Amino acid sequence: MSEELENTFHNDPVVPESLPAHENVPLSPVSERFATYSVVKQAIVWGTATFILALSLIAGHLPENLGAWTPAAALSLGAVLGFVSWLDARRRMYGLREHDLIYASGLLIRKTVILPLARVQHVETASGPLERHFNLVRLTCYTAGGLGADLVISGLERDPAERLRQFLLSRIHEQDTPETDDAAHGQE
Amino acid sequence: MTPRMDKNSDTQPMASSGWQRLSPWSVVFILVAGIVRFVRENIPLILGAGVGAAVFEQIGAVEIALVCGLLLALAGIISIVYYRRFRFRLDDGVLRVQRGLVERQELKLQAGRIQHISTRQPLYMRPLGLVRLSVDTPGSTAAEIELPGIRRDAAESLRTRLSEARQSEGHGDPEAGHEPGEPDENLELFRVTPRNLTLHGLASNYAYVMAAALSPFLHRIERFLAEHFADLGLWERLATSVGSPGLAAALLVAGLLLFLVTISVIVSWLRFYNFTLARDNRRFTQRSGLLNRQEQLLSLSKLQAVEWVQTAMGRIVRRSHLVCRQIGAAAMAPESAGRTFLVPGLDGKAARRLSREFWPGINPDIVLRRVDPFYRRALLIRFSLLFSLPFGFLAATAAGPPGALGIVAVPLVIWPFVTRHWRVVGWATDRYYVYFRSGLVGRRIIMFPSNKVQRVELTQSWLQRRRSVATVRLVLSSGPVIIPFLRIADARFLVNLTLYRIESKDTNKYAPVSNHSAD
Repeated sequence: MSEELENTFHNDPVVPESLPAHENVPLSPVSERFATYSVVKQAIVWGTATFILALSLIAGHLPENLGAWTPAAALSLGAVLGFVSWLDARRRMYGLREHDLIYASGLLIRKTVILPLARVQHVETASGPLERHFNLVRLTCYTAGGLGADLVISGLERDPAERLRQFLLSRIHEQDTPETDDAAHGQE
Repeated sequence: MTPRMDKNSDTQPMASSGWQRLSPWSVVFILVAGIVRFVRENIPLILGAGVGAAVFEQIGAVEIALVCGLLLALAGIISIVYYRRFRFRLDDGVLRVQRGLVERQELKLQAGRIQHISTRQPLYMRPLGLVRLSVDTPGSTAAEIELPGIRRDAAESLRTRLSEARQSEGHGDPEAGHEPGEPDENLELFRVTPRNLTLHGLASNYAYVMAAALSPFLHRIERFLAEHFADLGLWERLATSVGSPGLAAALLVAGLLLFLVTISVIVSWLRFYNFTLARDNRRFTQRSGLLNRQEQLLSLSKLQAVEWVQTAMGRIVRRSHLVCRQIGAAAMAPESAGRTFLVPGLDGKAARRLSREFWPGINPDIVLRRVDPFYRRALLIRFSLLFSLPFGFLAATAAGPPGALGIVAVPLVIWPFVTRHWRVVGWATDRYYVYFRSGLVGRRIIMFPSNKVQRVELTQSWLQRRRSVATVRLVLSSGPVIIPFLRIADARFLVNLTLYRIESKDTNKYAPVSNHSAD
């Protein structure tokens, strides 16, 4: 981190009330289209399953008594999962502070992940064919030493995602001076 | 985060000199290591082949010997080719290794990226004066570079040149406190005594883990013994000589335990014989081993967390050990894998002294706070459900009422354990460090500077929200530390404080301590 930034920080005693509170940061929801996308994705998966089961039923590959129920079961399971993922998609939120990226998700189990920007080593955006149809992208952040992705924000619209990525990259570039005593070590 | 690895890049003009080879004796080492690796990776295949050979009677001992001999010869040829094609050089701070049987692979590693250099000396290499040098880089396990079999002096000079290159690369002078070329002025911090080493063997979990692993086979072993030794009358003789069958059985169990403990002590002696820990400014070196002398380096900047482990037996014999967690995949390996930086056979005083040696401001005796009592109930529900499943199955199928009784009994049996665990679990944070203790009979306290954290997560299930508690995950480069069921205010405080410690770049990274310059 640069010299000036270091000097702008004070070293006051820490009392709980004076700490910047992550819970008070206003979070913005991911794109509204993400909910539709999630439902469509479930519909495709379970629709295909239902279709295959129905075909096998017609072709007589499934046992008479139990087999008739399987397409209906797949369809209703798909409907339930579709509804759940719709609810879930509408509860995903993210927020950006000066020094960290916050992502909250989860329906029954609420999870808030906070990734300090100083720890981000690498950022990438990706989108599948269906996501592209909805103009959505996934943003993935990696940190040092982690075995996988450390933070994945799905359901961002292309433009905000690109701006977010550029901001994160500029921050990575900014702190790219070698440090001796940090885990954010040795970016090339 | 992966080091630059260019495969098959032979484009660069080669300098006139500089390519070095391994010692010719390393062929032996390559062969042995290769066989060991092959066996370890293909255990099912080898077992299958063994079973196959045993089942098909027409395959006799001669055929087996022939096949083994052929395989060995093939392995020998492969080792020689591997040796002949293996070369390495170090110039301009870049270590280049070319290797490969058919396709030549070139690995390049910048000295500045090196996380960890270690040398090992297996017994059979000692008379030849050879060592095995391995270089770890952060992040990926695949990127490990190993020079199997170079002379000790060559290894030393390579290591010196690598650390020189590190310094000239502008990585400052964080690790080596001495001028390049000068001999290390190591300050010895700790040397294990034979007594402490034996106690470490007693305290380490190896014996009990082995006993637990063997217990499913106990029944079978007993039957085997009964079938084969019954006619010898050993059991009768033992039973009559001590007086009662019960006493004889107890003696047998005690004998088995003694045997396991002996093995455990022997393992401890083999691994940690003459263990020394030395410090050279910000770099720690440990040397140990009876047959396999090994040397491991730990640089303070790579250290993520220190774990103070007191096993159940260790608490009785008053010995514990420290485990130093480092960046990267090697750090996630279990302690038994022998790759972790472990300091054995410590009494309480030494453990505290050495923890402070890593981070002077650390306070291993900090008063820990319990987590919310609701944690007990959550654990009880979780484990009861898990353990009730088999009983529920029994009740539904065969046993009926007795099975149902089992379901009722499960929570009663689990409750004391859950309570005990809840009493042990504790956490604390001062301004600079986070402490977390867990365990049941043993104790495991993990301590780390909060600015080493990579990512923070706060999780609340539906039930936790109703009770206003939350689980905090602090993810370090060496793995996550999960602190369960904190009251929401505490959880938020811990999260916010940790973030503050990471992000503020506070000039005092570690707790201020007089007489020491941490940075």
